[in-house]
Amino acid sequence: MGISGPSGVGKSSLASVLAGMITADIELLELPPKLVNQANPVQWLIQQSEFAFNPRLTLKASLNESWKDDGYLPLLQEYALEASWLARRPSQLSGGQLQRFNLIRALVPTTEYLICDEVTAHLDMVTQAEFWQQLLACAKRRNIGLLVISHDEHLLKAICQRVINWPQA
Amino acid sequence: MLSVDKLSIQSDDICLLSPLSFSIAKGEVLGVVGASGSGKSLLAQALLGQVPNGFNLSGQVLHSCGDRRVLAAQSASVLDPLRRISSQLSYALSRVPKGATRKKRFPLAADITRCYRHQLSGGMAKRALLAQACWQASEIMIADEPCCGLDTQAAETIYQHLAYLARSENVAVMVISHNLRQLLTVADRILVLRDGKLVEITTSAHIHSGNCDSYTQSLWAALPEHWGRTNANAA
Repeated sequence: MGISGPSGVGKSSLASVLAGMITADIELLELPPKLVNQANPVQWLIQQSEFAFNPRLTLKASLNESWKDDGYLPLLQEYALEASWLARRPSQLSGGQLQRFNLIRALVPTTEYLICDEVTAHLDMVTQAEFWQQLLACAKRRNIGLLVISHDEHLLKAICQRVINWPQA
Repeated sequence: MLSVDKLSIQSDDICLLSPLSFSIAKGEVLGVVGASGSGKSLLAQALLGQVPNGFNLSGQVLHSCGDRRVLAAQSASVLDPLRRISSQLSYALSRVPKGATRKKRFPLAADITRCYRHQLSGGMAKRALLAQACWQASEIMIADEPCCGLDTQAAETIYQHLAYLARSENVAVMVISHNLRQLLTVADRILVLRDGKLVEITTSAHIHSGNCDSYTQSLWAALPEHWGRTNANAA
């Protein structure tokens, strides 16, 4: 499902409610239950991946914040990331590479829903196309629900079955 | 107006920008497109004479406008976090060319100017940066990813202002973007970069008709509206 709308109407606020980052006064909100000592089944990918990583940690240490083992290793090859880059810090990768590491961190086995908040807005068109091709295939294989927030109506039309157009507040 | 002759940039033994030559005429909008890391922003820095230390520039950038080359920066990090936006724009305001109207060039709401940087959304900060550049542009203006992350309507408005600057005020405008679709709405010509090399300089008509380099065609094909429909039902 896609969500579009002008800047400032509350799209990212909705995402943070659904991801359990903030609470809201909503009468009916049904979310998958959080599991003890496990990652949230609703994962949220933000627009600027460089802000999603601790700049002092290596990518391996960041991935291990959500993955309890090295089960992410097969995903590295799938997303064209080299295992040697695990020893690097976020500033040593390009935006596209970092966003794919961000995605792998979110794709833990318990993930049921993935909120993609303008995740490819800063990527060039070729990298964007590759990113979505890989993510859509993975979501289909693992039966993960995607909520795609974007200003790009062409992108939403290309990948979503339903789109909510959020009017100006 | 601005002419680039065999411009190249090297760092250590790595060639970041291979020799390229082109020119931008008064009143023209030149779009620069390419994947991340293709050298778009480095080219802008070279045209402004702001190549970072440690980079070796060769070739020539010929122009007759002294320091009257302005850049609308990509990131809001160039704004001073300790001063209100109005204070930071006062210099640009004092340099609006004679006969030009600030509001026609780029109107900026008072609720933006009275804020500090951290109080602005990404879109508001972009508008402040563009206003700063548009107000004082007299001969050459470079806009680096002016619409990245903005909604469609906001992006259209910004491109209208850039077009106004070129068509009505005869400023040479260079717009850098990774979004070929948006560039085609405003640019007279498109300069395509790949891995620091000039692929070609083409036009909207040539891209639409497929009469362009295969790399340019791949950038065009990478736009979501041109994706194969095989992915359509996956999400």
